[in-house]
Amino acid sequence: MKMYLSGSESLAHGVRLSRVEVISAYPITPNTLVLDALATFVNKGELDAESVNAESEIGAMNICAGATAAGVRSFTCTCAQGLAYMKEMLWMASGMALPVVLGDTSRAIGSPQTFSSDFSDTLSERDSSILQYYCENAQEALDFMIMAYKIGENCKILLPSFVVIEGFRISHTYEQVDVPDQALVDSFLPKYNPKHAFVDPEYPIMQGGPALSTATFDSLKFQQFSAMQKAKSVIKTTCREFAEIFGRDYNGLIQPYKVDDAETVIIGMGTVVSIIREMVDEYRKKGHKIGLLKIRCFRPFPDEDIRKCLAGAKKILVLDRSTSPGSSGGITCLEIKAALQKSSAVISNFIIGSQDILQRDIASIFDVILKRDDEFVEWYRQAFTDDVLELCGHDNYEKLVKSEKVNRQIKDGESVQALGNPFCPGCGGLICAKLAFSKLDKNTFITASCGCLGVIPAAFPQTCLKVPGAFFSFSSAGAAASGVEVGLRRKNMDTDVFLLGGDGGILDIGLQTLSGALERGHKITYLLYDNEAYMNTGVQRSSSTPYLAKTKTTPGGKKVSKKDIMKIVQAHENVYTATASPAYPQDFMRKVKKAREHNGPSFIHSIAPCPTGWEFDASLTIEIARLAVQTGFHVLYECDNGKMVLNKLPKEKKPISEYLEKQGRFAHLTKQDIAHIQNNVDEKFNETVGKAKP
Amino acid sequence: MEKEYIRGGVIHNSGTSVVYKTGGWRVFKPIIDQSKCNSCKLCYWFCPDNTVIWEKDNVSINYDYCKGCGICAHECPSDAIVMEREKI
Repeated sequence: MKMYLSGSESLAHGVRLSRVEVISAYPITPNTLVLDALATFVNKGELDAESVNAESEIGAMNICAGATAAGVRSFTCTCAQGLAYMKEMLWMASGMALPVVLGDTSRAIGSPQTFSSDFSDTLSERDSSILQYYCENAQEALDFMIMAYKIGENCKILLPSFVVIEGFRISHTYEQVDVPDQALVDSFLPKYNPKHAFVDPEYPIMQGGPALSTATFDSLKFQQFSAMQKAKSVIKTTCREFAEIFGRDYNGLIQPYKVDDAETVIIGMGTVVSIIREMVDEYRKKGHKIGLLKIRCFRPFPDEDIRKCLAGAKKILVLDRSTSPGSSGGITCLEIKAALQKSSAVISNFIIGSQDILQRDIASIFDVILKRDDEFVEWYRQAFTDDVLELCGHDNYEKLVKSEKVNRQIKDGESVQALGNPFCPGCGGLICAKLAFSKLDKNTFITASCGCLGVIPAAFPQTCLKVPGAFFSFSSAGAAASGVEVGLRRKNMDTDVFLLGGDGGILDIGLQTLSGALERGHKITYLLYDNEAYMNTGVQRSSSTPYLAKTKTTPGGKKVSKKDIMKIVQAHENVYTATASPAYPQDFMRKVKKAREHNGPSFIHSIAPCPTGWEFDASLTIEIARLAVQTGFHVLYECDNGKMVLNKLPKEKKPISEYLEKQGRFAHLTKQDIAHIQNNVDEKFNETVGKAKP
Repeated sequence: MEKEYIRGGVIHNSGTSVVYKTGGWRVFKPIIDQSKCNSCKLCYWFCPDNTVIWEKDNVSINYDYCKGCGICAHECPSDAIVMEREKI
C-alpha cells in the first residue's frame, strides 16, 4: 500500500512488519519520531510487542540484547551521544551473536553537540562487528529494516545491524513509501528461531561467558571477522530474494549509476547520492563521462565489488561526511584507498561534513574534480561569519593571549542571567531557573546537561549567563560537576557549583552520577526542574511522569507511578533537601540561599509545569504550579540535618481533579481513574506530612 | 591571518543571548494599566523571560523579549494587565 510517510515512520513500519516483539529505546533527537510511531502501533494493537521505555541508551541496548538472548526479536533506535553511550553493549551484542537491529537516525557525536548528521556516530563503530546499511530515502529504510533481520539472523552471520537514516534529512521529511503487505513480509522473513542462543529450562545453555585464554578469545573474535566476510554474499542473495517478492532490486552492497564508461566517478553514501545522481545526468548532457557509486553497506565493506565496478575509472572523488582525525582524511576514502591500492586511478577526497548539500554544491564539487588531475583531500566548508566571531568573544580572547585580560566579572547585585532565550512561552522550568539565579552571584559556576534548560549555559555562540558555566554530558552531569568542584577547590576558589537538571537527566540517565556525587559529598547545589517527561525531545515519558499521564511513549497513560527521587536523595548523608514550586517565589529563593549556605551537597526539587507537554495554556503555568501544592500533589518542605519542616501546607487540600482537569495530558481520565489518583495523592501526602511530625 | 573560532567552541563573552530577541513570537501583548497596579511585583517574579522592568515603582515591559505567554496578566491580583491581540 502506498503511504505518505516520514523516514522515521517508514522505519517504524519496517519494524512493525518484521514482527519485532521487544522494543526498547531512550529519547534523543531526532530518533524520537521512530519511538513515538512504534508506541502508537503498540497502543493501537497494530504491533504485538512490548515497548520498554529505558532509563538510558546503554539500558535500551541491554534490554534488547537480553530479549534477543531469551530468543525474541528486538529493536532499538538512537543516534549520536546515545549510540556512543551504548558502546559497551554494542560490542557485547555482536560478541554474543545477538542479531539486534538498531535504527540510527544519524546525528554527529559532540562536542560540539549538534543536530546535523555526519555519520560519525555509526562510522566510529565500524570495528564493533555490526552490519551497517546507509539508506538514501524512506523506502530504503523500510526495506532494509526487514532485510537487516533476515541477514543478521542468518545462521552464518548472527550479528547485530545498524539501519542508518540521516537525522532530519530523512527522519523528518515525508515521501511516498510502498508499505508491503504483512503476508508477503511473513513469507520473506520467518519468525526468529535461534539455535545458538535462547533460554529454555529444558535445555540450559550459558551465554556471554568471558574467554580468559588468548586462544579461545582469538578464535571467537575470528568467528566475528569471518561472519562479516560471509555477510557479503548473504546480503546479495537476500537482496535478490527481496527483489523477487517485493519488486525492488537493491543490487546488494553498492549501487553504481552510469559508471560503465565513466572516467570520473563520485562515491557517496546516504541522501547526497540522490543529488549526485541528478547532477550526473546534467553533466553527461554537457558531455562529461561522469558516474556515481553509492555505497549502501559500510560493514561489511564491499571492497571486491568496488574494485570490479571502478576498474575503468581514471579519477575517483570520495565524498565523506566524517573523518578519522590523525589519518589522511575521510573515513570512506580510507577504505576506498585500501580497496583500490593496486588501481592507477587518482583518488581524491572532499569532506562535506554535516551540512545539507544542494545541487549547486555538487555542481561546484564536479567542476573542481573535472578540472584537477592531482590527488587531494579538501574540506568543503561554509565560510563562518564575523558576527559569530564577535559573539563568541574573539577579541577578548586575542587580548587574553597577549596577556591583556579584559575584566568581565559582573558587579555585586547584577543578575547572572542575560535577556533572550529560545524556550517556549510560559516555560515553568525557566521560572525555576530565574528564581534560583536571583540568589546566585559572581562566584558561581553553572552547569546544565541536555534537556530543555541545557542551552542556558551555551548554544554556541550564545550564552544566557554572565558567570562561568559549561554544558556537559547528559548521562554524567553529576560527575562532571564533581570534577569542577574538586578543580575549583584545588585552585582555592570560593566558587559554588550549581547544576540545573531535568527529570530525565537526574532521575533516569543521570541517577548514577548524581548518587556518586552526593555520596562523595561534593558541595554542589542541584536544582531539579521537574517537568515530568522528556520535553526537549518532544514529550516522552520519564520515570518522573505521573501515573496515567499521557505522553508520546505512553499514549494510553503511564501505567506505573512517579519515582520518588527525594527518598533516593535522602538516602545519602548530609544533603540539604527541599521541594519548591515557582508559584511560591519567596519560599523558592529562600531555599536556594539556604542550599548555597549548606556545608555539603544540596538538592532542590521543583515542579516545573510545561505548557507544551502538559497541554495547557501558557498563561496557566503558575496557577498549575500553585495547584500542585494546594492539592497536596507536590508537598513543599525542607530537610536539613535530618529535620524536616513543612512549608506552605494547605489547610485543606483541594481535590486533585482541580489540578488534573486543567491539563490535556490527563484529559482521557475516567472518574475511577481520578478517584484512584486522589487515593494515591492522599497516601503520599500523609506519608510525607507524617515524617515532619516530631 | 584568517580568524578562527576559539578551540572547543568556548565563548569568551557574557550574556550573548541578548541577540535572541523573541518579541516577534508574540500573539497577545500584555498592556499594563498603571492606575490599577498595586506594586506587588508578582509579574516581575513570575515572568519566565525577565521582561518585566521595575524602576522607581513604575512597571513596564520589555517588548523586545516578551513572548506574550500571559502569565503576568493571569496572575495579576488587581487585573492591571490585559492581553491584547498583536496587530500585523
